[in-house]
Amino acid sequence: MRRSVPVAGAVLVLGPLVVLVLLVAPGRSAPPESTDPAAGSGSGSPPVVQTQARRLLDRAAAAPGRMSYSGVQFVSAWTSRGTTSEVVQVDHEPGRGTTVTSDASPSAPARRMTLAATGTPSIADGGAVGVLAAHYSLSVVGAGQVAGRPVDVVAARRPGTAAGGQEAARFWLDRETGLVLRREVYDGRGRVTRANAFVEVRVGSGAVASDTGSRAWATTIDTTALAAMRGKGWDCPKVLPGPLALVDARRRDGAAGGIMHLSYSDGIATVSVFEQRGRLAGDGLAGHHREVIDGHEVWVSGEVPQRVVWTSGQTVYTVVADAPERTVDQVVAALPHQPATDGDTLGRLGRGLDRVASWFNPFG
Amino acid sequence: MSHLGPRISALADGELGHQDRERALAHVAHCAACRDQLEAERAVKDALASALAPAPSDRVLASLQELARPGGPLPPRARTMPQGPVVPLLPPPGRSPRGSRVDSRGPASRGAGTARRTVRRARYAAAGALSVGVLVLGTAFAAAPSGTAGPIVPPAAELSVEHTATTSGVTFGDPGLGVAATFGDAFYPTAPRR
Repeated sequence: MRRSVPVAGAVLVLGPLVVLVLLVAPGRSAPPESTDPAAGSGSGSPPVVQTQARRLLDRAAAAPGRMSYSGVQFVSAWTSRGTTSEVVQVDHEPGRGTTVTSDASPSAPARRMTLAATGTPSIADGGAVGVLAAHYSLSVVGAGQVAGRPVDVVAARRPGTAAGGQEAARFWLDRETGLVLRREVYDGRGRVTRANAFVEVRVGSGAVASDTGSRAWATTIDTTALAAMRGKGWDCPKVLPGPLALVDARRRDGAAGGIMHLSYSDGIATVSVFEQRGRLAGDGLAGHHREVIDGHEVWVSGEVPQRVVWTSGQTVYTVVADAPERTVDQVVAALPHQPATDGDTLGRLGRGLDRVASWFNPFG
Repeated sequence: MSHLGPRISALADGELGHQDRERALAHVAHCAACRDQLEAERAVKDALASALAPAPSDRVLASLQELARPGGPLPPRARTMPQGPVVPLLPPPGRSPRGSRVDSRGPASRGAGTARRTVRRARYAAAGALSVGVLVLGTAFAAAPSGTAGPIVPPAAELSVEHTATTSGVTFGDPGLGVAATFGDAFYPTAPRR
């Protein structure tokens, strides 16, 4: 359903304009190029968080829970495969969620998805701002305008790198409401890898679609339950390369223990690790191609978010990542890669003994 | 009126309802054939009901009483080395093992009998424990989640949505980018990275 601005028109008229603005906008100094493309957060001194930047980000984090809004947003991603962009209509209502609509294009039909509002992470304290402040130095670096609205600009820098730290992301925060109106993420060389910006926004007018929204799995796993899961053979590292901290854990019931979902983030990049008992079916997966990462054979999907799938022992791992490719490779290499084993006798005996032991284990 | 036929047996067992019973009894009162058949049926049932249960034989009773007697002191452990002359495993020729056991009954032989019972009980206990163990472990192995419940294909679309739904709460920015990404290949072409 169209709203104030035709999305197709936005693609044709506003898209190139926004790209131009994103690339040549004054007031945004290009992040310094790093000699170490792999430079990540937490590699040196602890992050320094400016009080004013923290206050603005806290306000931004709370804004979607206080007000509805709608607008047209331009989203882009840059990778080694090239650049791609899309213009979407965004409608948000506090407590209900966000509906994202994309118009039909010559290559794809119109699509719409409603993402239900999510609760606080089950593991990480402090929410998005807490995770971000634990990994990056935060400071206010300027002011400007986005979609005709005054904004403050906050930069997140990787601590312990070059003088002043290398920028990892910038946030343009609406001065009136606190909403994030524009966001850019940079790789280790200072190149933009992700960007989204409102080209038009209206506060107080969002209308989430009435269809059932997609929501995160309801069964959350807290720190105590996670320890029990480790005891039952599930691999649950607290930190993955990046470094990325474990921020949330959930489970979906199903056959052979269901699927466990571990979410990792540094406040900018996100990686999900899904573990499922079994072994990968057939000779491959549709839409995936075979690759070798750090000597391990895996199946990779080039979509965004990126997916990497493999079998280790009797567990199928699926990594879904919105993170730099190098980080994804390091995460995949850090996870188990044992030869796939079938349900042999020793394996069954071992599981049976574990099961008998669990009957007598008061903490199991 | 026709005879009662199969209802004779039900009448004898008291299985008929009130009205059927009254009707049947009225018929029996005027029908000698059915009356005779009913009497015969009742006689057979009475004979079966009064029949005595088979009594156990004297040998069985003697064995049971023997089991109830208090035993003597326990014999030395079976694994200790014998101190005296080696006792032959088989009885002397011409003497049956059973006769030997019955004839030599006394305090000492009662102690030996208790030892045999103890050993027998220990064997029963061991066999029982083994059976229970086999049953428990077998059940556990059979019921244990195989972990390889057949080859699986991860639900790619569902996992991508779950990733977006979960991580949108821990990163900054509008969920528009993440949701648009889950729209699939139209947003991002599938191609090898290297």
